[in-house]
Amino acid sequence: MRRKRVLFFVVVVLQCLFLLGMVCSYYLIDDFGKTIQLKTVPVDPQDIFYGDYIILRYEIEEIDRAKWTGTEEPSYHERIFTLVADDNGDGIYQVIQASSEEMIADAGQVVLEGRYEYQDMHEGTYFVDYGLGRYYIEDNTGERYERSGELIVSVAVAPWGQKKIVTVEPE
Amino acid sequence: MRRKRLQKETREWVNEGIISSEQEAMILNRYLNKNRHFLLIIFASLFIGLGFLTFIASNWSFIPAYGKMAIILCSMLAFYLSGEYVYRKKSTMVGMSLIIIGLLIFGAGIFLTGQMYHYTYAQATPFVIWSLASFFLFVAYQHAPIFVVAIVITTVGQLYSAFTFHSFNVWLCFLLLLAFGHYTYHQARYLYSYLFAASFVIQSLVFIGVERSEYYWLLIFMFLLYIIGDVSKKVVIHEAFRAVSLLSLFVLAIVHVFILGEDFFFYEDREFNLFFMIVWSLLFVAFITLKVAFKQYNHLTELALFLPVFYIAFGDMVAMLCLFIFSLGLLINGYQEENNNLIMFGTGAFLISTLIAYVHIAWAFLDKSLFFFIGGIILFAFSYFLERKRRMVRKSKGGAGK
Repeated sequence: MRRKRVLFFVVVVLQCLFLLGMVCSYYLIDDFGKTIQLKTVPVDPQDIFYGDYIILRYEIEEIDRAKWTGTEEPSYHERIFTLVADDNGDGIYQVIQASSEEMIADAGQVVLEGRYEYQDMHEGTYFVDYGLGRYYIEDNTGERYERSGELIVSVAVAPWGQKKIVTVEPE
Repeated sequence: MRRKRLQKETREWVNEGIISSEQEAMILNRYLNKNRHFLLIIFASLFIGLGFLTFIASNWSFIPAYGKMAIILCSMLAFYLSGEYVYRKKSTMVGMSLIIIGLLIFGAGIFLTGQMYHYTYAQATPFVIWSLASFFLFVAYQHAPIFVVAIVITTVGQLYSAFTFHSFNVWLCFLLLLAFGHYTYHQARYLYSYLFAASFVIQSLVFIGVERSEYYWLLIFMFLLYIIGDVSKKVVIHEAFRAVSLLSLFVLAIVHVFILGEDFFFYEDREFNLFFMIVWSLLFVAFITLKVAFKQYNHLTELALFLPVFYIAFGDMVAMLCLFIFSLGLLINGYQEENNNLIMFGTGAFLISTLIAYVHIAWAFLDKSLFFFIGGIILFAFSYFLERKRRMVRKSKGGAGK
C-alpha cells in the first residue's frame, strides 16, 4: 500500500514537472535557439488581422519540386524536414532542401520541422505547414499589421526542434 | 443484490431462533452495500471536468499566461491531493472520482499549455503522455473507474491520431497491448477484458484505415483476438475476446453481403494476397487445433465468420450463408446447452441475418410497399417460432429443476 502511495505521488509530481517543462522549454528557445529571418507572402484576404492574432504565409511554405527529396506523394500531415539557409546573403532564409527524412544542418543552416499539406501538380510545388501561421499580438496593436503585404518574421529555432516567432516587422 | 439475498436468509435465521437480531445486524454490517455505480461517478467526474474546462475557456483570453498556468497546476494538485486524502480516510469512490478529475485536468492542461505556448505536434504526443499518466495512476490504485478512463483516453488518442495526423500511433498501441494487456490478463475481469477487446478492435480499424492496408486484414486481427482469448485459458478473457471478435466479424460479414455483389467494389483489393493467405491458414490451423484440444466442437460453426469470402465468386451470397450458419450454430448450441442467453443472442443474430438477406435479395425487384410488408411478416413469423421454442426450453429446464 505504501509503495502504491509513493507511486501516486511520483506520477503527480511528474505530471506537474511535465507541464512546467513545457513552459520552460518555450522560454529556453530564446537562450539556446538560433534566430532566423523569414519572408512572408501576401495573404488573401488582404486584411490579415484576425482579432488577437494575424495570419502569416511564408515563402518557405511553398517548396519547389527540384528541392524536394522526399517521397513523391507524402500522406497528408506527414512529418517534413526543411533545410533552410541564408544563401543570398540578404538575411532572409530560403529553402535548400525538403524531405520526409531527417536531415543534419551544417553551420549557417537550420532544419525546420513541418507537416505536409498538399501538392500543387500544376505549379510543381509542395506545401508544408510549419505551425508558424499565427502570430498572437497584444491588444490594440493590430492596425500596424493591417494591409501590410510582405513582412519579415524573426523565428527562434531551438536545437530540440521547437520554434517560436520573436518579432514581426514590415519589410 | 448479494446483501438483499443475505438479508432474506438472516431474517429466517432470526425467526427460527438460530441467531439473535443483534447478531443479524452484525452479520449484515459485514456486507455493506458495495457501491457499484461507478459508471455514474465516472460521468459525474466527466461533467465536472467539462464544466471546469468550459468556465475557464470562456474567460481564458483575459487571464495572463502565468495566471493560466497557476490555475491549471493548482486545480490539478488540489484535486489529486484531496482525492488521495479522501480515498484513504473517507470514501474510496469519492476519492477515486476526485483523482479522475485531477487526471482530466492534466489532459486539458497539456492541450491548454500547448495552445498558450504555440506548440505544434506532428503526432498524438499529448495523448501518449496523458495515457501514460492515467495508466500509472491505475497501477497505483487498481480500481475499475481509473481503468475505464485510462483505456478510453488511450483509445480516443488513437482516434485523434487518425483524424488529426492521419497516422497510427505505435506508442498508444504498445500501451494497450503491453500495459493494459498485462492487467487484463492477470486480473481477468469481464469489464477489463471487454474494454481491452473493444479498444483492440478500434485500434485495428484505425491501423487499417490510415496505413492504407487492405481492409480484409481486419479478419486477421479479429482472428488473432479470438485465438488469444482461447489460448489464455481464462474463462473471462476467453468469453470477452470471443464475443467482441465474433460481433465485429458479424458486422464485417453484413458489410460483405452488401459490397461484394457490387461491381464498383475495388477489384485490385480482391487480388489474391499470398502473405494474407499464409497468415490466415496458420490461424485457421490454430483454431482447429484449439477446438479439438479443448473438445469445443460446438464452436466450429463460428468458423463461418472467419472465411475469406472476398476471394470467392458470389462472395455476397456466401457471406449471407455464413451469417446463417453462424446464427443457427448459436441457436442450436443454445438449445442443446439450454442456455437462455445463447438462445437470445442466436435469435437476434438469426433475425438480423434474415433481414439482411431479405433486404439484399428482395430490395431490387420487389415493389417497395410489398417489400416492407412481406419483410414484416417474415420477421414476425420467425420471432414467433423462435420465442415459442425458447419458452419450451425454459419450461423443460424449469421442470427438470423441480
